[in-house]
Amino acid sequence: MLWADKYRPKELSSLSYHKQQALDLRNLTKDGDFPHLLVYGPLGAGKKTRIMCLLRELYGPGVDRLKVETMNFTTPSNKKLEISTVGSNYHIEVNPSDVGINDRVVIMDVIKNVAQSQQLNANTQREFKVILLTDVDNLTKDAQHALRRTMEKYIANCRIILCTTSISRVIPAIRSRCLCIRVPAPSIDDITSILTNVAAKESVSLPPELAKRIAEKSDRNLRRALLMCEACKVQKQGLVASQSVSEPDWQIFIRNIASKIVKEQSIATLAKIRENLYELIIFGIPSEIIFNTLLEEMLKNCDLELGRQIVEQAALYEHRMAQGNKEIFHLEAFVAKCMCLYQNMMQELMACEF
Amino acid sequence: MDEFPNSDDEFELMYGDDLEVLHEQGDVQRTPRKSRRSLEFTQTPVSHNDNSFSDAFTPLEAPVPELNTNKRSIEELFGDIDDILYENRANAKRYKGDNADELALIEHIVELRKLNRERDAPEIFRKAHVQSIDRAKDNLSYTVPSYPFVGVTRVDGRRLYIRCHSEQYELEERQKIVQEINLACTLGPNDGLWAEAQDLILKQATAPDLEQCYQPGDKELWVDLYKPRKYFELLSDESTNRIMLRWLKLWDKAVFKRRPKIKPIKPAEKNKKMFKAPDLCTDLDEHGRPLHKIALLCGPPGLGKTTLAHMVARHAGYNVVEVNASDDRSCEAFKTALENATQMRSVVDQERRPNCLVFDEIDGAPPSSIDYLVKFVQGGPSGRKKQKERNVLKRPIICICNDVYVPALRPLRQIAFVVNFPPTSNTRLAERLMEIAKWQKVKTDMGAMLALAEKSQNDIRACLSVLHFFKSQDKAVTLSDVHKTSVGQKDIQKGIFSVWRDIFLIDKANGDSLKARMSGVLNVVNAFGDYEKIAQGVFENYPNLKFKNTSMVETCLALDWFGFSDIVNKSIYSTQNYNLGSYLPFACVVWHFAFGSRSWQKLQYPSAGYEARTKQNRQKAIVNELMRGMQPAIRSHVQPNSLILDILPLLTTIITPAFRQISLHLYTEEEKKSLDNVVRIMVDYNLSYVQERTADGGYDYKLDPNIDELVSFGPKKSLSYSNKQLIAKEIETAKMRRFEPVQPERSAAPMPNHLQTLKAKSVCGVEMPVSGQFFSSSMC
Repeated sequence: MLWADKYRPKELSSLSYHKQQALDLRNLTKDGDFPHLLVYGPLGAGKKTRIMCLLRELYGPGVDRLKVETMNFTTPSNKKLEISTVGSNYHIEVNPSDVGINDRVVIMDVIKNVAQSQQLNANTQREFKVILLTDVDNLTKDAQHALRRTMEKYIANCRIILCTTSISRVIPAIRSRCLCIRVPAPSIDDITSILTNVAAKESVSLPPELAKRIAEKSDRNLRRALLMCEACKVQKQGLVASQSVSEPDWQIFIRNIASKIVKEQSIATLAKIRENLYELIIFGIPSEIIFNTLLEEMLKNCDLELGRQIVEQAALYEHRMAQGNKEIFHLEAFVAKCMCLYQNMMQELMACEF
Repeated sequence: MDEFPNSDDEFELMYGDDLEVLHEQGDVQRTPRKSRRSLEFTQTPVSHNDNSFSDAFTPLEAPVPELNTNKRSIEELFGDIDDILYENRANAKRYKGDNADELALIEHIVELRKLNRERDAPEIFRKAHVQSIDRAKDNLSYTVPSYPFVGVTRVDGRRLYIRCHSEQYELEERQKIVQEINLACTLGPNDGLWAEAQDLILKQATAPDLEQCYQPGDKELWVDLYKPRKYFELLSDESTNRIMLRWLKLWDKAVFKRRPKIKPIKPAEKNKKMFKAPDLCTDLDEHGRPLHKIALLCGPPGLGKTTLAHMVARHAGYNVVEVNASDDRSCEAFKTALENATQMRSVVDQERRPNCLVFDEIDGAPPSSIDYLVKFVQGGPSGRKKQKERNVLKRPIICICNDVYVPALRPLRQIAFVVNFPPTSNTRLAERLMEIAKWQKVKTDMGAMLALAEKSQNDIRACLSVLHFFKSQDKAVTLSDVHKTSVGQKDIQKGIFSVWRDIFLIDKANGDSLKARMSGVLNVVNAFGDYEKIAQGVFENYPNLKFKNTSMVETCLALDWFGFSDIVNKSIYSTQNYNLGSYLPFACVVWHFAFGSRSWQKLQYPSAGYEARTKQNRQKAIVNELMRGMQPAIRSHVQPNSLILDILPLLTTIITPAFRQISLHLYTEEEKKSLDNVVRIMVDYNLSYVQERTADGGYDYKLDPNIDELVSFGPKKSLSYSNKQLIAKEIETAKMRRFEPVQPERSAAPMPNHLQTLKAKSVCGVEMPVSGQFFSSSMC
């Protein structure tokens, strides 16, 4: 098993950071009931871990006996679709955005059916089930609107937990129906201590400098940090402080793009960069992340004034990308704009010197 | 000759190399018909001169009162005629205002006149010329006149002096005309007068030609009325005509049992002629048929494809059987038509010509019919040897279509002899139109006809329809009429490539001003309509092209417009608000200004976007596959996003530790542990190694699902073959081990109860009375 899976805490009490929050969650479930929840936070912060811990607190270890099921449904246009769900006897987990724009049907059919059916034996267990919806920020507006009534109507039978990276794309109507819980990314110190703990349990000696470096490189993403650490261990038997930490390929790839922009500003470069961007899109890297990473890498090469301009443009182009369909147009436009700004700055510098 | 019962004399004459000569003869024969045109021609241009205008028509109108039984004064008639030609006069006035315009017009006239003179017989020209000079003698002079003048040099170098009137004089003239018009209008309904006057003028102008006129019934379309009656009357491109005829003659051996007289084209001649049509293969197969059994004529509408097919087939001695879109073209109907036409011979026709099948408008036929045709041509639909002899195609088939790239035509395209139909030559069409106009007594001139031909993109049918229309209006057709009317304007839809080319090309012919360029691009883009495709094509082509303005600022601006068009497109599709579509063409203008260049450049079909999309879908499928097989405990914590971003890139490193290539039992404890770990991770994440055959014949283990494809942006280090084999085996056993603990559970489940019910003893006990009942019931 991967370390990230192996040492995932199963109890709220065994969580190793944001302990106050863990305590609050525990108090929340003390009397055996809780409102709808909207859990949000960056990737690898431990949202899902917390949710599972919470369910375990509520229903006991039965929650861990998971099974995968496939549900079939038909869209109004008679298209047959299936969606796979993970669930235990007490909860069901669905990612409606798996079916793209048909997610409204999932919400309407699948979720509603689950929500409508009452628990048979309410005395021995809780009188409600939990429906866990993930990737809520990718839900279409239609689906979100379909969800809001369901949430209120079937409150007696079910609780809905929504899990998302950002609530900015969740409509306010849903936000107001939920208790919003933010799970912030762990701090670097948290990650370092977790890494050291895990290494100790695996009886691997992890130099503290390396742990720190991994934590910094991981972007405060705990899952990535653990994976990086394990990758380091696989690459070299005895871990040393000066060891190189392998990063995900796509990050290196985007870094190369940023350096290409700085190196030469021409249409030929633009054409090459377009190929790279296409490659990134093909590999399924979400375009927002391409934008973010590219911006971060660009900022490393810029002074304050240029940086300000580039951030401004990035915001503009990303906004446009969200409005449009074809990411490549907007990504390339942003790259060209960066080139343009960079060129201007260089020319100004030249003019100052002479 | 004697083997060929139905030969046309004409055909024998023209077939062979003396065709050219004959063609020239044809031309000569036709020339006298044109002669009268010169008269009309010279009249019209002169009419722009105010004074000569009324003068010019006086001799024509003078005899009218005597001829006419109705009592009518000359003034009345004058008024009428002025009315008719008022437009011309107004034009003329406009020209007066601007000296440069006037000069240009005169030059144009002179040029046309010279053209005319070259074409026509000299004495006729002289006569006409003298006449026109007579009429215009007040205003035109070869010597320096006494009145104020403007000097003009004719194309042949001769000086010409044209009178300039004072403005005062012009004003008077104009008022005079206005009065005349008012007078005419007050005289009450003058439609009849107008028409009669027109008739009289025409009668005079075309009187000598009357015997050559076709006597048309009103019901017939002009297209049919003036269909070419002879081979050399065909207007279509000569090389196309000949290549079709050559192909048809190749059938002679199969159809007429006669050796075709094919003269091989000399190589020098071939080069000289630059045939657009593909070289015709003149080889015959074992049945004496040409290699291509079907000719596929393709080209835009109205160029005379159908006419050519009919003409050529008749010429080569066939009876034409046509199947077109108006007929039933289901597979069954197609079959009967094919069999009837190719295996039977018409009895009713006295000449007993063999059939030649013409499938018109085949691009609209159902694909199944076309498949049947292809099968039929390739040796019988049954395909059995016995029947093959009977089903051999022995008659030529000509197919006609507009768009050769219709998907249904693909099989046909591969076996057919494809002849692309080039556009008819402009002047040839205009000449023919002039002839027809003369026969139909429509007053017109060569310039107008050329303009008409150009406007309709040399569509013969459209031109004739427009002429017919003007005829029914009883109006003279002038250049301005042609330009003004929307009749005959074809809604030209260019191919996608020519749209892209227009965007990338700054065409000098369209004018250099930004305004002209903008309207040019807008026209083309609006006519095409699929803005998304245009945008994609421009987007994918521009980085590979050379354009003059390579600054990043321009490129940024253009790219912003790509973003804009994307946003508008999305909002159109998501809200069905098609009004927004009207903003899209302007993006193309910006791209034209940013990326346009003067040189012609090679464009490519945009495939990158589509390829990226298909690849993306494949990656998504891989991720889904991975997710589906994952262990539930793992799966509940993994999202596709985090899988792609975090887990997979590092997972590939984690599952490829440095194993030694030795057998399993030599591994140290440490190594065994790490191997075990790798196997467990791979099982958790539904990964395994699958043996695959490589291209060079060896075997290799590949990850399945192939996540290497999903995450690696470059070559990755991979395990050795033996290690992979080892891991694959371990994964199998691990998977089996996972299922094992389940099985004892099942056997330990409350079986005894279940088994007891199936015990044979109890069943026997029940069965006895049943059998007893059975017997007793049968006994009764």
